[in-house]
Amino acid sequence: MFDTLIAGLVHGNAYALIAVGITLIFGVSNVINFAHGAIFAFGSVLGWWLIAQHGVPWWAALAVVVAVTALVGVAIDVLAVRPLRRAPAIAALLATVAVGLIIENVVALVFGPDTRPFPQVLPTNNIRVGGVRLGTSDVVMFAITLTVMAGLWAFLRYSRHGLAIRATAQDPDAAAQMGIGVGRVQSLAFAIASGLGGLAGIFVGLYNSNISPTSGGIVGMTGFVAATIGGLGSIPGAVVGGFVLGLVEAFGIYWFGDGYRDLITFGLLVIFLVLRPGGLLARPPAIESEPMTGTFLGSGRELRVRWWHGLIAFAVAGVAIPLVADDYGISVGTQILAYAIIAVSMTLVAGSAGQLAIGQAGPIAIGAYTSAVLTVSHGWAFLPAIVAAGVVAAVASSVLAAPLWRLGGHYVAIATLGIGIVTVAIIRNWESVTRGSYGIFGIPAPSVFGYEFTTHTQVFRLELAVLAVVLAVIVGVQRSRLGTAIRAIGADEVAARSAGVPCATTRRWRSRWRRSSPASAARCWRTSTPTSIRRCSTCRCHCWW
Amino acid sequence: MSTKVSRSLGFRIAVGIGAVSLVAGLAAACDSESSGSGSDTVYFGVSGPKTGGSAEYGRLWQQGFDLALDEINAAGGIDGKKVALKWEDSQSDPKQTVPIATKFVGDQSIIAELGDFSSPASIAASPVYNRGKLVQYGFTNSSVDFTKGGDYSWSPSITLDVFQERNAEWVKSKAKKVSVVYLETDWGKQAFKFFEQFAKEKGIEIAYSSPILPDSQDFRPVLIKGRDANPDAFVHLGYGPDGALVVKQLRDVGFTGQFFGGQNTPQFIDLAGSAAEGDIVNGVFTPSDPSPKIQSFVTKFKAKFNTDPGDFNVYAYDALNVLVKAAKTGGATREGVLKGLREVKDFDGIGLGTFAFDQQTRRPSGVKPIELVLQNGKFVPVGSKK
Repeated sequence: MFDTLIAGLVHGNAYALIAVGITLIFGVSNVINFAHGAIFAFGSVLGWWLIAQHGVPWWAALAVVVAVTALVGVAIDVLAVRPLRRAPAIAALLATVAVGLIIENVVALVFGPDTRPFPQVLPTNNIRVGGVRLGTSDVVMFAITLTVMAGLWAFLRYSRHGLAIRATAQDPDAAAQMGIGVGRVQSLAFAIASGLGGLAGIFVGLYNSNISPTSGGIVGMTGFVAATIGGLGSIPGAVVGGFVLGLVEAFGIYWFGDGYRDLITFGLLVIFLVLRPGGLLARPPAIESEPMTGTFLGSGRELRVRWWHGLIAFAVAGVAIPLVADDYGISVGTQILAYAIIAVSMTLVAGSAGQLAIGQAGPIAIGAYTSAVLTVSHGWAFLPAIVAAGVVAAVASSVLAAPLWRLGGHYVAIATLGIGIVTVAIIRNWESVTRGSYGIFGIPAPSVFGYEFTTHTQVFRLELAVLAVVLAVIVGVQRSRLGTAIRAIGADEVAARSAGVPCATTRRWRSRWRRSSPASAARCWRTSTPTSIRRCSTCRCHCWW
Repeated sequence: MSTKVSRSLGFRIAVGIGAVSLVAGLAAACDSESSGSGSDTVYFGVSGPKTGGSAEYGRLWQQGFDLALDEINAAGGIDGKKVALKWEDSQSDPKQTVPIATKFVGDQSIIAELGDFSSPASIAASPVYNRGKLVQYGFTNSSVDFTKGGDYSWSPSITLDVFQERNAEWVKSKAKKVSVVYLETDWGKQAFKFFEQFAKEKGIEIAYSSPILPDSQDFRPVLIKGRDANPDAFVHLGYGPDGALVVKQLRDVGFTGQFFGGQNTPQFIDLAGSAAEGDIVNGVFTPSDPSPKIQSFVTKFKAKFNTDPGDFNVYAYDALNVLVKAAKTGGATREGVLKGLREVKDFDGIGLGTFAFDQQTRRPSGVKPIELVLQNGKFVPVGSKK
């Protein structure tokens, strides 16, 4: 038991180092840096390359790694984040996702993609206290975390640059008016944070003993959970969040087994978002409830499409493509259509309503599993099965997401991500129904009124028809009064609230709308007359009804 | 959404769609041109991981294929036709193996398919191969379900039940009580199910068991709990990289007993280091086998790649040789390969020795893995042979 505690603290220490980087950048730039995990992996691979391949002493390698990753951080800021300063926050967020993928793949290309042993420059299990084993490396890492945190705190508290960082974090516009070079401060934050990420890469490599260029994804995500638990933007919060997450994970896995890891980590995230969205140490809500994507549309040029353009496009796709493309082309086309259906549903949420739903994996998995279980285990026909799948996905995700709709801005993105991962983890562990990681195969070919869709072309056309129906429904929603309300929230939630649009309820409808029968939402909307102002019982705001 | 439309835009969309269709058509036309039947090259399609989490295995396959191709083509190929591979990177992902299967079935120059790496990825594509009447040779697919896909799904791989029966037999000789960790995948769970069954039959007590996620890095919490159950030995059912992590961290949490697990690959030996000394695994092959046939293979392999061959090199090398022999017997066509697999009674492999296929299960009859022990950084065979 005591060594589980030590294991949790050591791992928590690593999470803390990563979470501090994520939180520092967030505080200063209001950007969730999804490239942080990739920088961490780059740091560990670079450390391996210097120490194992070139015999550089570990302390020198440490210095080089911190310097190089800090430079990469500045490059990310200058090349990917700063040009998007005036764009909505989602643009910078997506840019960091892309940069993270680029770094990960470049590192894999340059150094090779395989997992490799990290050199044991410091002993890892030489210190034994009673039944507990830990190593010099753990003690050094702990000391470094403490030193770095103290140094960072002193730097932010007492130095001129630290003052500038704090001022910028508090109010970038005011800071700029006071003559602070906000751009330079932002780069400084990226440099410090990324250097810390590289440092964490070396120590986590030492602790886990194996490293790979692709290990950043899961580490970055967990560090991100730690930062949110601690309170995004708060540095002591990131440290506390790291240790809390490390301990909860260690004991949770000790008791329930490693199969529940995702459920424990991201379940904790969801619990925090529901009970204390601001995290442990930040003032809730730490972030303004601000739409992330709405004005994105405003700055773009709309591609205007008439209904007959759509008709021609669908006719060409349904008739001409099967004539010219071979089976391989058609099966790729079928996958493209599946992505198109997902994209259409995301457009309603992200494009119109201004919220970023990155956890779309959740409803997709629920829908896929519902239809598969119904057809394979219960012998349902294709049509009722997909309708049921849509209803179950809509109800389940509305129920799961209901407590989170009062969140705003970045927190919606984080929450949908957490819910998506939790949903998939539940499906994996609910073996009696879903067959867990065995998966479900032998799903029968779709058949509608006795007509069986077996060839690639038939399935392609079926999916095309589904896409057409989905598009028609979405366009219908967007043109309805509910759609106007959704777009109003997307463009400017604060203004929409002032104008009396019932925001929280609309969001819930939207999540139902997107996936299945809109009947209940529409009924609810229509029966109310938009004349009187009264207090909405769900979202506690004043609404017109 | 506004209904005001600029005419030129609609025109541009129409032109765009037309252009895309044209390109798709041309691409299709090019494909069929290159697959003319009068060609003097015979192709085998490979669906396997070149990137992603299982990329290492694709690399090991490639080495085995390369060596086999050198020898086959030096010896005149198949009836004077050169043998070559068309490789598609599937990342061992079921979403990608299906379109790859469609592509291979449509490419008439391909006479048989090799792969994919994991059984779920192969099983997902089985219906396409069976409908297209193209032999799908899943040479690393140990899932008992794989060859049930149809008459065209074949595998020389020893099935999981046989592997785990042997594994339990070897565990029994060293331990009465064990803790087990297994990979949380289709493969790992089936392996554990069989291990559990044979452990019970042989009187081995499983004191603790937990799945481990393929992307986990820190297994200490489950290993601590497994250690606290006081087992005589620890059993790991998984692949090389996770096996190396498990055995190293097992030593970190102070377990000094016998370890069963990991994989017979150079990567596992390298990653696990001294922590895995004494480890016992199932294998089909070891470079230290003194038989002249195997030593000659090892010498050729080392001359080409400057490293010892492992199980996955051998699987790939043997797989290509078996299909070529089948094609030589039945003819260098799709039907010929199937005919050869049915008729040849003396396929010859580095890993499996001489064997014929059981026509009911489409698996080799009567082959068993050997027990290998890791000594001084090399897997060497011990008492229990095939």
